[in-house]
Amino acid sequence: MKRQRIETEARERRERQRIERVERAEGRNVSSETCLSSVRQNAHAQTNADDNKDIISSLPDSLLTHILSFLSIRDSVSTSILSSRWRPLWALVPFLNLNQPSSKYIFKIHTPALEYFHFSGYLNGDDVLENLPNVVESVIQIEDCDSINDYAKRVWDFMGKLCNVISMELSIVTAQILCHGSNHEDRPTFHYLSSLKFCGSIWFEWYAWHAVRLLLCQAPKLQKLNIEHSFLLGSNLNKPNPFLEEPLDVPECMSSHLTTCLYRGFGGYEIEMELVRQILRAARVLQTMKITICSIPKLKNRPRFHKGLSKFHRSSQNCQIVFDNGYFA
Amino acid sequence: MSNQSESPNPTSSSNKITLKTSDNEVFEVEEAVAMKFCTVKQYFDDENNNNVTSGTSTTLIPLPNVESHPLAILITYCKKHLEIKANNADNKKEMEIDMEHYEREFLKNVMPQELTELILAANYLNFKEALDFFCRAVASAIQNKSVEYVRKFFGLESDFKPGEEEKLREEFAWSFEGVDED
Repeated sequence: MKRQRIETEARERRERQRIERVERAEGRNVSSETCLSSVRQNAHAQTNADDNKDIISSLPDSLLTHILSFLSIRDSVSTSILSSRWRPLWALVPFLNLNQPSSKYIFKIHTPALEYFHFSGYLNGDDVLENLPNVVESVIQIEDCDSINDYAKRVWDFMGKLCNVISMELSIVTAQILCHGSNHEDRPTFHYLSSLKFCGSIWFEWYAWHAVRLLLCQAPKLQKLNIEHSFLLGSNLNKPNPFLEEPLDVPECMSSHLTTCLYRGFGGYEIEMELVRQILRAARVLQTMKITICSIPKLKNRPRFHKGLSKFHRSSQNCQIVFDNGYFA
Repeated sequence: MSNQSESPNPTSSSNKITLKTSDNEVFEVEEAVAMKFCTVKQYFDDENNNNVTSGTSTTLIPLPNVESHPLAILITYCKKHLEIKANNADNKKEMEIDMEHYEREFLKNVMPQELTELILAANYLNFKEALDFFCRAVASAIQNKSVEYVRKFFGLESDFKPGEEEKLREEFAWSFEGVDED
């Protein structure tokens, strides 16, 4: 009994740590800059009195990697030269945030321990990403490129390495690139993906919604779809969108698994209304459709579209539409 | 936001919990503070489950892996943490600003060699906010610094065989570009 309890506790603890790491990943960029110049100063004060005293080695590897998880990948890798104990540590950090702003470097990633993978930037033809079977959470923001068709295939292959991902965030641009390779034969299916988020301007390009739907088709078990629309100047918000008019061949997840849909940055435009209408019609087990309204001054006639949305046909009888007015784009 | 009344100001709660450190010092802390230490909370909950009748808080909780010095610092940090949270219950932004300000001031009184014992204590107590805070503190102290600086800061000596370090430096050359002056 006792042993069983300990095992359960250990499992719960691991799960808690996993969640905490996600939370930390979210908060990471905000606060790391602010503190700690003072500890450096204290260090100077201290070095004279107490030279060469080892102040770190009493920590176990798990805590050293925890410290490394707050560093950029560059700083983290450079600690491998401190001493032989430090040499392998950086590769054990379960979190990797890789920003590849140019084609200056070629990367090869072989880190099976990785659980959280955040990639932003350009993908080179020679970049190598080994399978990442333990990655459960990923953020992918691929940069655009001119020779789009080959590039799209490359991006699909890249995504395919995240075969067991559970929660994923993609930039709309990434989805659009993938859309160009929609006839790629080996499109991966994300069997475990339960939460998918898209960030960016979904109405800037005609086919962005088409791209989102294409990805929904690759995620048969998706439960939560989150669209975070950010308004871009020149978005085609006021014109009808041909990609919304085509009949909706319903992705598998829509009819069987999707329970939550969030749309953040709702402006009350015709095409947005149409999108919500189609989702409500297609999603048969949807429980919550949450719409967070973008507070641009244009939206004076709020009650009208509240009402309009509430009138839409819902395929799921248990579906609630929730409004939130507090979003400032 | 509306259930504020259910979580009264933590500093005003009256229940006390007694903690005993490895160097036999005894700390009496408010329950709200002690409950931030998940290890203590676990112990406390288990005790209560095993002994439903003991409604009074006479429990003494031993902490065989924590010394009094880091515990005192962690209690101070925790109290302030709860206080800032309570003062800004409905303004997250304000809370973060206050917290940041407090943490910056806090670190001015922390020596690098103290960070290790604080990290170990926070880890043992399973006090997540403090653990992350101190680990982040160490991380930002070595951020963008040369290997030589970091070795000196940590008090480490290279134990690589001749030639080995040069090889590694070559392999990871990209990670040393543009570091700060020491």
